[in-house]
Amino acid sequence: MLRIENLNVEINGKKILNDFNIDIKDGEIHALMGVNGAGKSTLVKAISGHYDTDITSGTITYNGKDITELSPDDRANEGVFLSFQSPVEVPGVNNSYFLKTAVNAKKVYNKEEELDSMEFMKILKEKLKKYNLDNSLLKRGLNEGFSGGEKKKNELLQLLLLNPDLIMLDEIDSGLDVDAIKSVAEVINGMIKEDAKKSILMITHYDRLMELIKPDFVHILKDGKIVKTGDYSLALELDEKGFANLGLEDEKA
Amino acid sequence: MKKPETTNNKVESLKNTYKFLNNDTTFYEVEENKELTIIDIIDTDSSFVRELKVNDNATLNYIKIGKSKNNSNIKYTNSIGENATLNISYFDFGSSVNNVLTKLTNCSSSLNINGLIDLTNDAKVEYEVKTNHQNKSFSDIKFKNLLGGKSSAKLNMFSIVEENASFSKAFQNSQTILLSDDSFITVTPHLEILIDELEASHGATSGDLDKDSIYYLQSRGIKEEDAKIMLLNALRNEVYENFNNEDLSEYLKGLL
Repeated sequence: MLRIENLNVEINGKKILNDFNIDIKDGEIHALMGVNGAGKSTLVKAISGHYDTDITSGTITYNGKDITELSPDDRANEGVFLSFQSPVEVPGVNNSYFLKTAVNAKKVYNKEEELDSMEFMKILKEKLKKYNLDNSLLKRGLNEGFSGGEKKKNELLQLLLLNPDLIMLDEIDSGLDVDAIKSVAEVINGMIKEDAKKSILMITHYDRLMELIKPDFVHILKDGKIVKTGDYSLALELDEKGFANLGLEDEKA
Repeated sequence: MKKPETTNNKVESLKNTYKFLNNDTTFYEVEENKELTIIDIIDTDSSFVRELKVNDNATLNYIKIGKSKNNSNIKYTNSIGENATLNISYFDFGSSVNNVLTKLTNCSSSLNINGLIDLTNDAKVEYEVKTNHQNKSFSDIKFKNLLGGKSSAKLNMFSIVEENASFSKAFQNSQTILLSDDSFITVTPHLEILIDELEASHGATSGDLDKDSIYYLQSRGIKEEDAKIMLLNALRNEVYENFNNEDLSEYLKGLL
């Protein structure tokens, strides 16, 4: 589904990703770990097309297509989704209107018929009910005045409605309590159950999320490249020993 | 992008609820303890005088919708009674020169101005807003300016708080988004304060639409141009929704 080869990325002239490589096949779950500043968030931002990330060389191939020149909206409509660690607040843009606009943008991209308000509300209510998400966020401005937990719930709602093939989660568990992390896992696992081809790339510092969404591969990133790859046991080892004892602590950190 | 939906029925019923000024009207007075909303549509190129008088304990909501193609010249003189409030909304989509003079001579009189200067092509708008606090009173003057094409705006806000206006509040703010390289604005916020006991602030900003907000919307599949329209409409909505009256806000969105 996603193949990244020799990717070099700079932000404001500073090299962050350094000949980075990864291959994520359909249905695989990959976890990305590493100390702060290792390049984890830069990687997912570069995949989603963030304006700050300057790709100096290398390729990002998604479903057989090089997406490095595509706009962020085209990448999203191709099926790439990034759940943000701290999504921005957009006052004045009604959340429900935003969600419907996003869903219909994907419909237009795929040359499908747009949903009218009734059809959209029906789908929205089904998703809310299935995952026991409350609808109090819908009437408010997009992320406006949302608590950390509410922002994450809204990211999940967008994920459910847009139904992407590649799900990237940037520390979706940060700042969440145990019950909220369980809700996140329930949504993700529910989506994988419905479509076994979906792939996941998740950034996390904690074992708790990985207990609930078991990764097939755990990668450790240092200085912009993967320095160690293992299975779930690597995450457990890291949790027990820490980066320093595995010889993976960034000297600059 | 679809326009906001406004039903014809709602527009018709609102036409009966709110007073519409025609171009000949120069003086409007609200009786004591009454509340009135006026919608003033200015779409011709002439000079007008608007004298608005709000008597004690009354409220006047005055909404100007400026759509003059070439230029209109409007002189406003406002007087506000004790415990009375004048809420002004200026929506400017065409060219105009506006002089607004408000003397706050009565105790606890309030002036709220919310302006939206929303221009394209080569439209030009000028505002000279003079507010004179002569008694303990309140003024809050806010403009949002969205300038595209070769449009331009000039905004002078001048508030004076005199010696006998202790404990007054006087605020001025201007927020500008420049949507093209050829658009420009000159803003002069100015406070002249002759007393120590008061609350006052003034400020002006100008810049582009927030890049992070555009990227966020794009990351959910919304095209850059549509994302910008959504953000601009959000700024407009902030002004429309100042009315605390859902029907009126919806009506204006439909009208504009």
